[in-house]
Amino acid sequence: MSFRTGLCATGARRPARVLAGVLAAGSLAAIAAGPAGIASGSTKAGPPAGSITVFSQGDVNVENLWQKVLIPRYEKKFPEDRINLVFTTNSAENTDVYDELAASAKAGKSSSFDLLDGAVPAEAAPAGLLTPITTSEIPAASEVDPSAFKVVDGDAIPLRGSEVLLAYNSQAVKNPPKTLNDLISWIHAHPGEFSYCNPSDGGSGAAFVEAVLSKYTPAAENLKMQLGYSPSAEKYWAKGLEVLKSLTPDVFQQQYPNSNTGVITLLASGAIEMGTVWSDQGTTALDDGELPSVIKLTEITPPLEGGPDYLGVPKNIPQAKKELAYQFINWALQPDQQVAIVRAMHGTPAIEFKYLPAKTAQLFADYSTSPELPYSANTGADMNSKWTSVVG
Amino acid sequence: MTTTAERTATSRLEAPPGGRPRQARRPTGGYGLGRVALVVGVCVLVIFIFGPILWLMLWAFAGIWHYPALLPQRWSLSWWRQVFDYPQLVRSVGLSFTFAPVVMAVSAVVCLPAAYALARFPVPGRRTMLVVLFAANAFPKIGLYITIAGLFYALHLMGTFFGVVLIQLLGTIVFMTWIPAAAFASVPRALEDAARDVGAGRVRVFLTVTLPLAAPGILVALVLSFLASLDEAQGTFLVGVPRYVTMPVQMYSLVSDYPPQAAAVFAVLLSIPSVVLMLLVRRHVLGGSLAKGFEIR
Amino acid sequence: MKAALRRGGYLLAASPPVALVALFIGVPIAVTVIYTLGHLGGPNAAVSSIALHQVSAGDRLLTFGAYREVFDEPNFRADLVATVWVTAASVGIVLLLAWTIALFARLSGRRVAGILTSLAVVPLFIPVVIGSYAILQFWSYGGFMKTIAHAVGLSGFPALGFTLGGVVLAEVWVSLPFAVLMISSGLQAVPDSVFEAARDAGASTLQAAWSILLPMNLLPTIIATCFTGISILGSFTVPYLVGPTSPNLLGPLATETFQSFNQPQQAEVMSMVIFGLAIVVALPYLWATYRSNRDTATS
Repeated sequence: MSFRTGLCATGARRPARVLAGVLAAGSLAAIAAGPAGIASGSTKAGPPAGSITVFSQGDVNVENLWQKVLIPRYEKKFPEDRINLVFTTNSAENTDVYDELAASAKAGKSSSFDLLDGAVPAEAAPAGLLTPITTSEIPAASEVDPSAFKVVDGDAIPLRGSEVLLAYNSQAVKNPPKTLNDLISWIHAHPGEFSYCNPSDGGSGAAFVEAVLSKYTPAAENLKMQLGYSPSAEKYWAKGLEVLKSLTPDVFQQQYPNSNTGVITLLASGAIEMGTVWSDQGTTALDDGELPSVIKLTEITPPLEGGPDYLGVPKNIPQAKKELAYQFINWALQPDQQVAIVRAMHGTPAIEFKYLPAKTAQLFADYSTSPELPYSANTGADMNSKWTSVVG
Repeated sequence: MTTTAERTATSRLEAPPGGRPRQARRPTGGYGLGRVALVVGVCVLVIFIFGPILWLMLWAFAGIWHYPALLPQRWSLSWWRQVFDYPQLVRSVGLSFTFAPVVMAVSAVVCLPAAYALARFPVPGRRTMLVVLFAANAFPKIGLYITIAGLFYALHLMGTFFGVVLIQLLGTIVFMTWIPAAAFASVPRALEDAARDVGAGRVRVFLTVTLPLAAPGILVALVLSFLASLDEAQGTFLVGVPRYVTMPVQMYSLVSDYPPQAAAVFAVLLSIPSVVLMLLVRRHVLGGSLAKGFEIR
Repeated sequence: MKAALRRGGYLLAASPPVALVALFIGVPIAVTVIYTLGHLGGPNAAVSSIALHQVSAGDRLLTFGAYREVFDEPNFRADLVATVWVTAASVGIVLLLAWTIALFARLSGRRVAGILTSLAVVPLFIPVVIGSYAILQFWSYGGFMKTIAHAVGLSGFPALGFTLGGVVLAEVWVSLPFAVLMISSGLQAVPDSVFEAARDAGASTLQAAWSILLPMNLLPTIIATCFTGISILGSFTVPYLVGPTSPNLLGPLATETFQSFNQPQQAEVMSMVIFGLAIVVALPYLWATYRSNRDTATS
């Protein structure tokens, strides 16, 4: 599988989400009329009794994960049940689904979706549009790192994860930086050999920027900005922005690529020796030979931004549907499925590594289970704006 | 009927049909030097124009290619397979070639009668109209999309086929009105009058005299609007997504999210129809109709 | 009465394009203008309910607060300067190239002319996003120019990807066809006898071009300048793909301000600035057509 993977979508997600939000706010009429294009993809005839409708958004590899891995395996295990997948590669459509959720909840009607994957759950959970997750209904939830529930108020559950790592050319760099401080000194010591992308254009750049800003921000204030919008906390960014600005003369060509892929391309061409990349994107590029095998991926401390991709169950659906959704979630969190997901997506598992088979767990020996949380949409917008104004 | 006159009229727009055209004297100052300069100039122009496209074509067949190798270290067709395996890419090509003719046709229906009226009748405020069209074209689109979105939502145009047609149509109106208006205006009235004198009706005169003589200008406008529709990405993204993802919209995501090979394959595929179109209409586009259309009279 | 009716009929026949433009471009422009002046309600309510850092006029008629805020930003001022110089440089190069090509085409035989203009028109048929991407790959680090320079030992050759120089190159590439078409069709319309007369009077080719062809071909040249300038001022795709993070042109900055910073009001202010620059560029064109209309009217 070679098309670019998974949570890299996170990179594009932030700006797209804001844009879509602005546009969709344009009309409740459109929402009432039903989300354009969504219903069309779902079912041909009426779904059989034991079926759930899943909405997912991501790149092609996420679609393949569902179509080629999850659905066939699940329907083999539960021959009576059917999964109707409604999939789109377009992140703007998340807003349509979100609006549908909100509208149906308000009208007290059942949502047309029984299970949500992708960016929607993380947005819908704080708004109280999802059913709380409990271990009595989903026993496997106990194997998930508890900190993953914090940001979603326990209303959504991780399916898979990804995080931003440091990629470096092992031929040129014998001792890669271990910490963020080491990395910053390394960049200064090796002018022109490091690059991260414009945070507006890619999550792998945003992760690095957020890490540096967080370094000088009191943890409690930082958490406020991750969980919500707290403009008063942004004053702590000043120091971090100065540090980032001081890096500009030493990054490759004193410029910032305009996508996650841009950094990969620079690494591939040998233009730079080090850069920040999404774990899944980097691994896939290595598998495809797009990145030469001398490129290695490593995690630094504190870990850069990353995190789980959540599953959520809408509040207003019939109990029978809920139970089918729970059954699916519980199944998907079993080690077998998690290994399959990790293989297909080059992502990280949702359950803690100790529950995985030793061989798979070893792949993640260097990974943290709890990478930094991404800033919320509005905090991220301000971060991009400040970065462009001071650093870019 | 009026063949000589017709030919005279045509020859102003295109080269004289058949026969060797009159040739201006070569530039003075050394036959050889001029020629060398010409050859060098043409070479530089060829590299400047075609170099990037050819380079991208190489990428489309590259398995592994790391700088500073002159050619890929490993050739591969795997990206072609990937692109064809990805139904959305193929679908986007189909969508683009559905929208382009539709937009072109709608634009013609909306604009051509107006162009004729502006060229032939004393329309009140006609110059103001032409200038308004021009001014609207000068406003940066990004500023408009924010508010157009609100309008489209209110009119239930968001996410619809017609909405996409409309947003693409807006970019074609100026030249679809201007260029044909100039083409109609350049048809000598005497010819029409002569035809009418021998008893032809208004419609017949229009179809047999006016339209054929204005055809080159109209064709240029049609081609330009076809290309404009094919090229439009931002507005289409705004209005059409997720159902109508056309080639250029798809290309944006390819360019920023995929390795160069995938984008290169797609770019090569996208260029093929454009090149075919170019070979078909090149002669007409190179005629003089374009310049005339931009003179507000 | 009948005459008035007929005039109404003409107006009706001529109005669909203008009506369409008025509704879908004119109205949004008006809404945009009042938004930038601090009116957040009415048609702007939906956008402003989500936007960050807006400036409201409150009870006042209008406020220039949003404009002041945007102009106070050094980043914006740098991009404004970059936009102006990239536009000026690109238009200058396009005009020079287009004139050279058109002149050669006019003075040489028909075959050479055909080849030259056909060449120059090719970019018209390549979607801008593909052209920009191709140019980026060609001129950037690891691209053709860098590779060739490396092969012949010029390792210091600059990589133009992600620089304003690269943006100028790409803008020239994209704009060349229109300018060549405009200027060459203008030149083709100059009768041979004019050349002969100039030549007989002892003028060199260049002198003839300067003193006779330029004035005769002034309007197409102004049109090419104006349309090329306007399209570069408001361009997004080329600077977004080829340009540096900063300073870059206002088109990408406005888009980023809207999409990534969630500041639509500031983005609209930037659009107004681009529009203002476009009007300045258009003035010679409007003046020239006005003058040529007056001339034809009096002659």
